[in-house]
Amino acid sequence: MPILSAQGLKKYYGKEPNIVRALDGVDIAVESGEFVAVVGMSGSGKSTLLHMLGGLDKPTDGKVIVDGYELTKMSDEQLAIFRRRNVGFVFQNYNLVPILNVYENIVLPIELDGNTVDEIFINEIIDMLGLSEKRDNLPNMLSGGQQQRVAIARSLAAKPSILLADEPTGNLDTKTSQDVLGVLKMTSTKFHQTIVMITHNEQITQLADRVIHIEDGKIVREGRG
Amino acid sequence: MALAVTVIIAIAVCFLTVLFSYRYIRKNFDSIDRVLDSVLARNTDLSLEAAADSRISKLTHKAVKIIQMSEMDISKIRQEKEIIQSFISDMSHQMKTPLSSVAMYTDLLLEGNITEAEGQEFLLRIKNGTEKLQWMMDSLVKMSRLEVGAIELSPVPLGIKQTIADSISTVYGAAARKNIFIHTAYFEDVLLLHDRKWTSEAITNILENAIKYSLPDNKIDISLETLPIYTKIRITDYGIGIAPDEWNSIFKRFYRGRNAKGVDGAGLGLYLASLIFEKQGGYILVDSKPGIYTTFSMFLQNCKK
Amino acid sequence: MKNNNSTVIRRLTGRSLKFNKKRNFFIITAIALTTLLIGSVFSIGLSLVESVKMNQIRFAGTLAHAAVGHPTASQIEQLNKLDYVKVVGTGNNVGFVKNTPQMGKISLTLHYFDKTEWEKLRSPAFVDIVGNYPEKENEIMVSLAVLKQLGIDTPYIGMEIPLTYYTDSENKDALISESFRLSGWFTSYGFVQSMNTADVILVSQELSQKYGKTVENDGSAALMFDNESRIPEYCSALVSDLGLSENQPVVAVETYGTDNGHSTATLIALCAIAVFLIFTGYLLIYNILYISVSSDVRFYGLLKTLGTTPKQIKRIIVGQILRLCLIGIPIGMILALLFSLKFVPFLISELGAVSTEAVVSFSPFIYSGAVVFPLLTAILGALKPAKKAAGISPIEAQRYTGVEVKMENIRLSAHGKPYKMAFRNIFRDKKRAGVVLLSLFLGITTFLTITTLVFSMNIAKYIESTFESDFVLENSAWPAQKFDKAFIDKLESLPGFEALSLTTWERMSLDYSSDAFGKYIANHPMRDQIANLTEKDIYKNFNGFIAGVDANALIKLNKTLDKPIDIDAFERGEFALISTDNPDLFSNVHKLTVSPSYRSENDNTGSPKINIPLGGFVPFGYKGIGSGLAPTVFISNALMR
Repeated sequence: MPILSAQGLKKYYGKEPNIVRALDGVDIAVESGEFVAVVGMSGSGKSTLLHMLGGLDKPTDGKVIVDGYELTKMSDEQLAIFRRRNVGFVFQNYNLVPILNVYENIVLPIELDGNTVDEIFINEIIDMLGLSEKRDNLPNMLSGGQQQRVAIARSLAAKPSILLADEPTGNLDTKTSQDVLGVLKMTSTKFHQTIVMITHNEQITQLADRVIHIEDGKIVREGRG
Repeated sequence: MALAVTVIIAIAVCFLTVLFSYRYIRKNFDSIDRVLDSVLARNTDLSLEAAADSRISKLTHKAVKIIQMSEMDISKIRQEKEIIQSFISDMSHQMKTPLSSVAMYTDLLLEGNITEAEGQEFLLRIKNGTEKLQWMMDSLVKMSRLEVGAIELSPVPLGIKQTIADSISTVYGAAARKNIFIHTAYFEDVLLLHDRKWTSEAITNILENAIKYSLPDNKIDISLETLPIYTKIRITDYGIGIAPDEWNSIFKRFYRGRNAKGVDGAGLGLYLASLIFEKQGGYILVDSKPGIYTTFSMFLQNCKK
Repeated sequence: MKNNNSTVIRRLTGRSLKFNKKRNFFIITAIALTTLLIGSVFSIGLSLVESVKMNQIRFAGTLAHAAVGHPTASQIEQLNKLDYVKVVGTGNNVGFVKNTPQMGKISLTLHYFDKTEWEKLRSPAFVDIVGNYPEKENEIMVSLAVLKQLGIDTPYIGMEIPLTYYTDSENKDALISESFRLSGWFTSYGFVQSMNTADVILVSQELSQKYGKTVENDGSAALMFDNESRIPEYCSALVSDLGLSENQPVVAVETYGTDNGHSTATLIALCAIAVFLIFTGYLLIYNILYISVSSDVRFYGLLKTLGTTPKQIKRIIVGQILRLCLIGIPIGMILALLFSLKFVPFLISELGAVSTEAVVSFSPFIYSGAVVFPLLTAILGALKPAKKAAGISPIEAQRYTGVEVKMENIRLSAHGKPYKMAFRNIFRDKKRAGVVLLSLFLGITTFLTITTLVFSMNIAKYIESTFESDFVLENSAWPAQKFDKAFIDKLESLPGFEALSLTTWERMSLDYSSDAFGKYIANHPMRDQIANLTEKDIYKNFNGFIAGVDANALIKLNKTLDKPIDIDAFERGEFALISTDNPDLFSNVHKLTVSPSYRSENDNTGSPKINIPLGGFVPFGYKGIGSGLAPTVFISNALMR
């Protein structure tokens, strides 16, 4: 049974005749532990797809089922709770909470749900991502690569069902990208983490188990290569 | 009088408090009971109330996670079984060609009506075939063990220089034969988390490929670059190259590149290499321009200070 | 069971505060200001109410609501047992002071109050009490006004004061001369006392007992009821409950309010100001928070993306406001307290509500009000921004840059003029621009209101509104000095002369009938002293003053009266006016029969009697003319002549 599936997903903006079909009938299924890359040009609808999968936006039509939850039927409040328990996000612009330090950012999803922080696990992640010395720093004291590593640590901290990454290396130079990407790959392997990653960079899709090509809101190609 | 009223009210309040507390606790225990029942029944069908900001909802969520964990373990075992099965079928498929040629030449030799030169030729071919089978067997055993986790790599902090030197000396003969110069840019030795034996084997595979797909009298560049988390080992050859649409496939088991038709190979070297790096928390990326160059970047984790 | 995730919300709340110092400063200022203003308004309001009440009490000279004349000992006991009677004080007359020439016409009595009466009912109505209530036989306590009358300007405890008095009203010649020791003094605003017509000298129980004076024969019991609004009802209940006889009258204390609705109006105005202030505070806090939330759209969107529920976001914002209130309200409260102490007494006398010293109220209502209302204001102000923050969509937050500009109505010219660009920028977000402008408007209004209040407090204006004239010339050396035409002309020609108004007055007697004046007498301010006068005594002594005033003086007065006086008719001498604050007491009086100058013992004065209808009322004490037993009558100057 796939951990994530979308059926007949559509998202339209505006009205005829100026309608924009950001997503026009997308079906995908992601198995547990899979690393899926979604590739497409900007404006192809790949970000919209990611937002739908993470319960950040509601589709015009179709349904999204993640971990048994049918997101399209849930309220704002329920979606927020769903996200903190089941989804880890990594964004292009890192999106760290500026007023919390590195450690607090990482454990935020855990604490939002009132769970006890598994210090051993969190320390392992922090150590693995080379953030031990930056634990008490505020995000604005960190480099882009460091910030993105914090974001990755945060997305893993609550052991979510899926990790959604939206152009995680989009704002980083090649070297840092490779670093961050490696971290993403390593952690997904190590923690058997399901990842859906959006990118327009063909090179980094090499790490994915599966690549989905999307154009004009439709899946045009799927599979390796 | 007033005292009596106060006492009665106090008793009533206490009674009601106890009553409501009791009912409240019972209700919560019932809920926990139901959640545990569904765990036992492996029932992950959630009601929407599961996503609420409450303790019971959290409990439900964790119960579902437990079910998923046990299911994942089961599916992992199933997957390993499938891997072994597909190995066996792949193996039998890949061994068919050399095995049948060995059988054919053996038959021809047994028939006897052949010339001395022909006999010599057939024997060489048989030797060639058995050698190939031997190599294939070795690789497959290694791979299957790696893949199913029968062999655990033990990455420890070691200087990478020695590891790379080991690999280069392994392929030195082959390179010399094609007059290919292996150039290593100067780098400071760094401690990287790796298993020297296996990593050396993986690098050897990459270097062998580079030599294999390079024209004679060429060169191969090796360089090292340290990033915050990883250290990158780059091996660049100036051979036939790999088309971008093949980048994702070359690390697959038994995949042979379109340009590799005329070259000997089983499609196992890159697969094995990427498997070795993955097992050590590293990874391999490829970059190439067909006919110009091919770069394999291997990433290994730095040691934490 | 609720989720146990409040720790992180508290942390986010605290951290948000830490990173928004500038905004916090503004919000704290707004809260403190709201608290200060609301606290001050409440303080003024309640102090006004208390001052007016205290004023009434001081004028009445007692806290008592009613008095029972000549109660027997058993009746007093009964009174103590009645549910609706809270305090029972007794007192009795001890003697009458024989005036020395220096003392003038004041009628002084020696009076004894029991402990309850003095402590619970009387002393709160006096101010600046020095010393103690007389305990020894030869001790007395006197009001400062009387001391002055006795020629003592600097009293001290234990000073000797000789008095001559008689104890039997039937036998006025049995005089006793004695030297008393002063055990204490006080200032009394007691209506009767301040008019210098009658006063009491307080004496000890011992003295009272020495002359065999009792409450039953010579005194009354003063009562305080449990409910002020039911005094008339209780008064009639007393008659049956105690079985009172004819000569045991129950008299309700008339409150000599100078109030006449003035302070009620002020209170309503203050309430309106309070509402206005709450609204202004609300807008201010709302505005600051709204702008803060708008600039933090990304932050709240991010929190929501990461799984902060809308409810939790609301808690973060409201939590911030509550913590800021924790700082802002105490600051505002301290300022309000300082304000109360410094300015409230001045403001109350400025409002002209009381004529005695103002009382500053420290009622818990002020301070609970100054906590509750700003708190409500702040929470209300935070709710909408909180809702906005909670409703932010995670996706919109990611690409938020502010409000999208609607370009439809903008005609772009090739060369954009800077002022046009500025203007367009202001109204980019119409709603926000509206809120900002409204806040500015209200802020300026508040500022202007306060400035106006402060600047109107100048002394010249104060004097003008309190005193009618700058100078009063009084003719005490008649006939040597005459206010004749020549003298007035001379006055009018003085440099700086503005206006002149003549007041003439004369002693007079009024013809008394119990039908017409019974109500007045029953409520007479001096009723304690006159309670034992017979109808005949009253008839004989129904003396007072008649005064003539200029019509133009009345024009000014007319503005403040509920029932204006027909000035022309008054000028023609068609009617007379009575000086009182309680016109109801004269509802049976239609015609006044005035005999100028006091009637003699045998009622055959040579002067002619004047019959004149009663045509209206002027406030008590108008033109500073006091009253005798009879009310003061005003007629026109023309008629006076």
